[in-house]
Amino acid sequence: MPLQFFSPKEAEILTVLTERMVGTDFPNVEHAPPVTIIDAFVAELPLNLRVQLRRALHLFQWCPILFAGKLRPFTRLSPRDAEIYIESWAESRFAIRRRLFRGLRDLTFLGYYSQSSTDIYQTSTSEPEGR
Amino acid sequence: MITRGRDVTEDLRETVDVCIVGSGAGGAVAANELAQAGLSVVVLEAGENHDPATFSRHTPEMLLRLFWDGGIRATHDGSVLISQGRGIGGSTVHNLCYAVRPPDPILKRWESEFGIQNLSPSDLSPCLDRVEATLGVKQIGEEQVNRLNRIIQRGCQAMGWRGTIQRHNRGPCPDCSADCLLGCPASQPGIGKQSMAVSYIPRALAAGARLYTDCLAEGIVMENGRVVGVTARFLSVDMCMPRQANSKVDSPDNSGSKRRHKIYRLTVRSSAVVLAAGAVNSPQLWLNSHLPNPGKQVGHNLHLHPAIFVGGLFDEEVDAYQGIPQSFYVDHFLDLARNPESGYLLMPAFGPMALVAASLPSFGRVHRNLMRSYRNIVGLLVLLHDRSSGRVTVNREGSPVIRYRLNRADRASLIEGLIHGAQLLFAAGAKEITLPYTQRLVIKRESDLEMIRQRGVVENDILIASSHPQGTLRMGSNPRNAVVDSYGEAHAVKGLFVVDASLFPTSIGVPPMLTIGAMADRIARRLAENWSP
Repeated sequence: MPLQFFSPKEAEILTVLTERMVGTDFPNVEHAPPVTIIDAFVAELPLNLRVQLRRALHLFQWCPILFAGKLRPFTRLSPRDAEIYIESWAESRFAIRRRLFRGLRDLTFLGYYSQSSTDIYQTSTSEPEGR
Repeated sequence: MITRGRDVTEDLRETVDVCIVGSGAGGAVAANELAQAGLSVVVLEAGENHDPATFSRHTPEMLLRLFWDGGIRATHDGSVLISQGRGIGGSTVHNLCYAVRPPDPILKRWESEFGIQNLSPSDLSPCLDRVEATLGVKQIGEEQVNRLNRIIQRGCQAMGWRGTIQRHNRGPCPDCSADCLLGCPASQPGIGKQSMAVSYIPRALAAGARLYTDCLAEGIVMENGRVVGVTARFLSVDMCMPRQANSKVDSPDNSGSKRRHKIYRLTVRSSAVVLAAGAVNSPQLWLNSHLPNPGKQVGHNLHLHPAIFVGGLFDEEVDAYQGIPQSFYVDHFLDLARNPESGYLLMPAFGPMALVAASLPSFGRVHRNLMRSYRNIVGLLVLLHDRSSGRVTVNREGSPVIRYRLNRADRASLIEGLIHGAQLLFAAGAKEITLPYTQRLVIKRESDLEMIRQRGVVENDILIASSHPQGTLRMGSNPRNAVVDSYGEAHAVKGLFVVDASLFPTSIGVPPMLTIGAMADRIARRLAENWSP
């Protein structure tokens, strides 16, 4: 499915980010990768929100040098370094960094947990059919 | 008659008695009352005409369809997420049907402190009766209380606190689940959720009201100190979510190529305008229209009912998503007769998986392990009757900017509420408590609750949500501290009325839908009785 808003490079950042936020590399997602769902969602948001999200994504990608002392972008961090890096945003004393953490985190959750084919969904629900 | 804005292919003009902006809890009631009284009415709705049969379980799709800004509207600093409905029926399409009457002490306070005439509980009672009858409000039966609510009821009883099973505007609903928050696919007159879209709006249309969907009001027109109409634009099929006022509109069609849409406009000439777009969009429209604001109160006095999720992890499988999501709540800490200014409710809370995920702390493996307990989670919300006050302004593009900061007393109340919520869940059998901080606090016993006090309630450290913005065009007899008078008419603009939660002088403290409807009924009837074009 073609991307509607994010560039392929941005989609790659989002994919790695989603893996780290969700804590898995989506072994059971069959229908669409989370990034496709996130992209379709963001494409429909008002312009100011889309711009903010794009900026946040780039900021997150390029700030390991500032906040983790690593001379490489987020997508090139080892899983352990990525975890430490994300944690530095979550626990930052600056509200703006915590806000960005939460915004990106919840976006990845929306992409991942809205799919009925994920393992957690499959083992967690026995909802009635019909919608 | 409903006209879909996306199908309009020319500029249109309307001349009517009353133009109503918004079709939610206030606008729908006003439209019906005015049309039944024989006035010609046109309603402008920015969202779509939802067909409940098309409601899906796909959370991103439904967030985009039912909510402003895809459900991620937030305060200026991002610290409070504000969910507001969009489309025919407004927030009554996604709310969870609590039909609660306004507390008597609140109405008395509004009368005494703000000089509002004829708003005693007995004055408002006939309006409430009519709204309840039209919405089919009924007591939720014991057999309809799901396990989520039952466990919270159990905890409440164990603590010796006061709580009650509430009344709902809901008909029989066989497949009811937490997806109710994304719209009720069974909703139709008498069945499922009795939103304004299936109750008041059909009545208003039958009485002759006309309604435009995908139609964004952009300006209220005033001449010689009184309103004379509204200007609006139709949103094209690719713009169900308006992206930016007055922007050039390029969007991909199905083939992926770009095409430019011409923007078609609607000009309504009317003797009266009724604002019912909610406590963010109504002041936004006022400010964008550059209407008089002599008391500088437009957009001020914003209250949000800020709410924080408290999760309890249980050994037993609760399956909280099954059944009616909210039926019971704890009002032990909302003693308005003693203190009408503060307090909080503890109410059940659960939702689709993606929304529950956002309500849990941390990320990665820690979060994933919590999600594995999805079937074992009992959620409740601490919903604050807030004294803190914020403000809605507009930026250069005319978009709303929402500023709100909790004051010290409200922070303390929220912390107390989180602790009480956790105590209730422990009393009901929870083995661990989880709170939506950026990182997980491990709370496994009462003595761990002190960690909540230490961590506190800090912006963007804990998820705060609001579904009840209110108070930005408040009612009162004094034009220096109120925007509209005792019957909803603007002090400074003749013929302009407000019938949504904007007019609440203070936080109301309880779910506001019924009060909004009753106030709209009261104001619309008065307008019809005194009608002189």
